[in-house]
Amino acid sequence: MDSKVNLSQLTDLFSKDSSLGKGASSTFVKAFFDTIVEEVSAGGQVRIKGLGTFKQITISDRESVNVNTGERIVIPGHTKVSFTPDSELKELINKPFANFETVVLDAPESNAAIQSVPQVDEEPEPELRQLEPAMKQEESDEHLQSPADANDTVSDTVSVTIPVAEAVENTQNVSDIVPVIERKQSETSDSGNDYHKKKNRRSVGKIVSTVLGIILVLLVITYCIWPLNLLHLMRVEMESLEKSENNTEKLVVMPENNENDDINVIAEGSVVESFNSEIEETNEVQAVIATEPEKTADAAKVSTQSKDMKVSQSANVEDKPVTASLEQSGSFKLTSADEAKSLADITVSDTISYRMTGTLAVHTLSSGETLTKVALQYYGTKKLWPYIAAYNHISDVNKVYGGMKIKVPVLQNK
Amino acid sequence: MNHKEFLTTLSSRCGLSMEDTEKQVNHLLAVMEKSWSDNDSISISGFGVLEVRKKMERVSVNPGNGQRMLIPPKLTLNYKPSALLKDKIKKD
Repeated sequence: MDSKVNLSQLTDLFSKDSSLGKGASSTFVKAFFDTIVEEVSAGGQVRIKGLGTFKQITISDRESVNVNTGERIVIPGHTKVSFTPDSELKELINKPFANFETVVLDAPESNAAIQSVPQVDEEPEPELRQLEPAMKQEESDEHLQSPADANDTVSDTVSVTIPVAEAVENTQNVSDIVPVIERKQSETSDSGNDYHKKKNRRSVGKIVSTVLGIILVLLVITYCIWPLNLLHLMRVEMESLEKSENNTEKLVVMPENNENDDINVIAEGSVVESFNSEIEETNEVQAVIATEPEKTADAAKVSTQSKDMKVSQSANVEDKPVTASLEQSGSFKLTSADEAKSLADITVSDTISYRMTGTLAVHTLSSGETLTKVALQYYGTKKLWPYIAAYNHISDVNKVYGGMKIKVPVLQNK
Repeated sequence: MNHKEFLTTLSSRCGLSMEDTEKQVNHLLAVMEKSWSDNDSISISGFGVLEVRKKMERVSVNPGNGQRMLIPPKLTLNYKPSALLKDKIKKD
């Protein structure tokens, strides 16, 4: 299979079934070819039935052009040995392709003819029966109008075996037939037909691709650019938080818009928070309410209400986990406005700035106690420790010591 | 040299009768045909190569009436003379 057979191998194959012995058969085979060579060299032709004709052919001079220089040259004539196989042998060799017939192609008058599937009037060839009708027609039409490419390896594409008997029966005249050669559709190379098809497909493809492009762009905008917008808002919030953390003395109010509304609503008639004080050290037990001047009117209300702290607190402070457990103690209390703000969302120090108006208490630090703990104790939040540090002029808050007495300032809202 | 003459020459060279040579020639051809059907090429030194080659389908145009035809693919027996033989021919 796909290999070379040399003289000795041929002789072996020959001698297997020959009545001649090995020696005689090798002589015979050799003589066979030698005779041909001799005769042809002598100028004669050799005709062997069942094989073909070997003869010399003279090729005359011909004019051509030198590829490099472009000048006209003459290619001299020569003689060559030619071989033409017998018709019987031709058929024998071509057996695998036996059922293929040459076909008349219609002139490609219009694209319509190329694109659409024209009606096949003639009786379909046996090969067609093997394919589905639709496919057949398409393929056949392509073949009709497509000039075969010399470079196509058509023989490779001929994969379908065709019943010989049927073909013989149904063979029609070449001129009458409309296509029948099978071929893998994918291998149909650039023919005029395909070109036209491709052309039209290209324009459609362009439209489709532009539409897809537009859709893609829109998706990108919604999923990439819009979230960035949200990020921007978040960043603003983050900045405000950071600032508030950095700013210990002076805190800027920068509440979110959402919460502003809530605060305003709750602020009216809200209850002032009070903090739990385990403090027995505090001198001032009575509530010192830091309120804005406008809200002093509420102070009285608040003070009275503060006694019912549980009830009031629960109403307004449900969402504040830190303060849920607080009890009224008569110690520092946040302003109503401040209290209304959910501590979970906004830390006091972030949104409020205070004035230190007096001494709330004098606290003796125990060993290992920090200012944050003190702040927590007196203010309910660790974040207000800077006030304590500033009030006591503590330069290095890390160097407070057990037994140190510090004054806890009264913080009044600015 | 036609077929008869060829057989005559062969028989005299091999010392076989005409009938025998004819038989042997047919047998040899059968052997060669078998190898060609297996897609094997026969290469005889000093003679040349006889092989099977595929030919692609092509469109040919009838110059007279401009009719285009699709010629199907086929297998062909192809002969390529050896250099020795070519030289011999050249000299002539």
